[in-house]
Amino acid sequence: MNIHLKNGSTIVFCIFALLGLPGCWDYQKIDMRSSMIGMAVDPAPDDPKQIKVTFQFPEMSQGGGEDGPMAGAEASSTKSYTNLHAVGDSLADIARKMQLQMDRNIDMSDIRCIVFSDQLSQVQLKGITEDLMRDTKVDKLGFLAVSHGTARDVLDADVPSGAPSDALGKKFSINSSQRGYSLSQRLWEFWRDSTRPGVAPLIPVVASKTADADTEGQASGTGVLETGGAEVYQNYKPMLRLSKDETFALNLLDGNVKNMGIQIPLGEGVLTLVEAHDSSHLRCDLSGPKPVMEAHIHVQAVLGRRPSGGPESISPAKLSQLQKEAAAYMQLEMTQTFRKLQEAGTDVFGFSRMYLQGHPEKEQFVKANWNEVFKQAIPRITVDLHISSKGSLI
Amino acid sequence: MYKLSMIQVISVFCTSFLPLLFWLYPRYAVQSAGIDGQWAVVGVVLLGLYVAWIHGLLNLRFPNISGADVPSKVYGRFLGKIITSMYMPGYVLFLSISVYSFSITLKSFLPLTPRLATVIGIVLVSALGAIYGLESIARVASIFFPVTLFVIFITYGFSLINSNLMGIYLHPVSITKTMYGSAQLLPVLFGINMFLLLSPYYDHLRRNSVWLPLIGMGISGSTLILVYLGTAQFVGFQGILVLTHPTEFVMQLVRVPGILIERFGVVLVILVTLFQGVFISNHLWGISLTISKVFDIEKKQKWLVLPVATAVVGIFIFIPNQQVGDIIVQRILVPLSWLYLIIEPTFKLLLSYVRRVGTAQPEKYATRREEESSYQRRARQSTSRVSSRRTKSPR
Repeated sequence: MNIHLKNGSTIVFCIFALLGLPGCWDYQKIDMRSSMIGMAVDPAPDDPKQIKVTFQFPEMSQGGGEDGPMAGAEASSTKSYTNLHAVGDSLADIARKMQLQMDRNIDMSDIRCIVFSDQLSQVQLKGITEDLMRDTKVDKLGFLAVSHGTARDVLDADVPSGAPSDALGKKFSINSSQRGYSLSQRLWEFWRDSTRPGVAPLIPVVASKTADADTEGQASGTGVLETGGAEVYQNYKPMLRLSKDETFALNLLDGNVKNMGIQIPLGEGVLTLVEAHDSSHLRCDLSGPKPVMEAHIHVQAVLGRRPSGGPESISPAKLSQLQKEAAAYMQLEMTQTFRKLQEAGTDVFGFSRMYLQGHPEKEQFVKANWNEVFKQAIPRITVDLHISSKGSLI
Repeated sequence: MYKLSMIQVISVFCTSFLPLLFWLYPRYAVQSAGIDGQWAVVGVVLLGLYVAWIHGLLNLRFPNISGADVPSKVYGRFLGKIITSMYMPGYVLFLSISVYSFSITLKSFLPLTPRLATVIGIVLVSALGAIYGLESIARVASIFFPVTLFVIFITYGFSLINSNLMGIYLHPVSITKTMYGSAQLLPVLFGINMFLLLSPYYDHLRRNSVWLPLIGMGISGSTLILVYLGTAQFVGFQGILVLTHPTEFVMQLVRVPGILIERFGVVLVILVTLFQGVFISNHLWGISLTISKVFDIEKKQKWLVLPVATAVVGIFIFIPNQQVGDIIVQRILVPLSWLYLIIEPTFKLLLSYVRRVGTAQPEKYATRREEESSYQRRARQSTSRVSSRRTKSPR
């Protein structure tokens, strides 16, 4: 072939191939997409099989309302977001109904937070979780939260920072590195833990404070979204709710506490520890007559305030005594939380995985009996607390 | 004739297999071996080392001729051509399934684009590469393969380092189940035969025919094991069972902090396309070369690429869904992979030993020790020449 003809045809071919760059059939103008940033899932009021889903969209044109994602919806001029609701059997059904209210395409690739109601039945929660996982366009890295009562209230909260789902997303991503009274769980992690035999996944609890504090509060930025505590699930069924203190004990057991302040009542006063970090070593032993679940926790913290108060330095002997007393208190708290989880037969720590790693042949045994094994286990929790400063000199 | 460098040989070798099952093999491993999936993957890597060694020995014995001509030398002209033709339908089917797998992977990123359009796009580009010949393919492969490998190692290495490694089981439960799992996973190595076609295109030195595929298989095998462990660690072996493309799923979840690209999906699309493009190109070139050898029309080789590409797209159209794809792999490609990768090459090699057939010259068989001795011989001759000159010098 003539070299010029060959080169020419290659250039023509490459120019033709460039046409594919914008994404072929999937090209969408930026102003034709509406990014869904939050989602709340409640049971439908009339039909127990259906769910009511609220989608939250950011309002790009503040004060306008004309350029909102939906035609003639309740776009408020003061809010930076818009919520739309639809009732349906599945995510696809709801998205289709939602689309009828909108003049742009729904984009689910940037979901910050998904709030579930604790009233959702096992079938409803399983169905929506699997729908979300199955849909390739949904962001699997969105955070999950559970609300007592109606999940929609959380997305309706009038928080000062803008859209509630964005505020929750930020809150949970901070929590990822600084866990204490709350925790964070992503959509795919919840789904993954639900598929694991013997593992009980957790979802952090969120509550909207606007409804309780000031029902008339229409002024922007008066609401508060409070996270704290966790709901324990098993096979998509809520089993148990942990309080903030119990969640903290759980985080200590799991070695997830980082840069936290801890208040420990000792005698008449309160010992304050700051910048607490912990690491844990969990072990599971089924060789004896009764299963033993061991947790060795190492906590490192700086002394904030002593029970007796005062800024002066304290002696090493006194410090050692404080360490022992505080460790004993932590151990007691953790053991109580552990026992509560045992009563419900919910292994949130993944002891089953530890056991299975060394005994993969026991897979069926773990699937069938792990809840009972966990209930009967003897917890052995040891705490090693190290306070890194000798006093609270100012 | 263009000679490939050692890196190019390894890159072409490594990009000529893996993509068939790369996005789904963790699911196949768990489906066939259950909790022993990780050991099944280790088993298939060991099988891969054997297959690479056998193909290396074949190239060592037949260094000057293409792999498509080897059966004619070993079995005789008529039988050899029949056996070579036997590879054609299997390879076209294999390529169609790989293209299908690719189209499904891209469909999740480009949901509105018809899969046929994606496939025609990539097959056209690959066909162009195949028409340009091995030199172009090798140059592109030597750039893309290290990039792909680097991204995969970073992604999965990061996920494993940050995990508690509890998804890795310390011993297998059932040896028979593990072996069955490895046997079912063999199609992941489909394409290794390409190494035989490379025989005339690189310099055969110091038994490199044997160690080059072993190095390539070592790199690819480590990738296979790493990707499986990372996937199992991330989603658990129970989770793998329900994911159509577990590898792709995990890659999308991993975001390496500190790296500019936050959305990994775009990188994944580019990566998949690069890898798949080189892979299809390799095989279009290989299949068309083999057909031209069978029918003695080597001058028309590059134009045979087009009918082969059309056949691949044609078969792709008739695969209706992933389940049918899975059935084709399990019912047809698993037995074919045993025939193409293990049974026939081993038999061919043994028969060549028995019949004392080989195209290598005696000095080409030279081992390192022999080469050293010949080098020493030359060195001795030169020193004797120098010393004789010295003895003459006083004059």
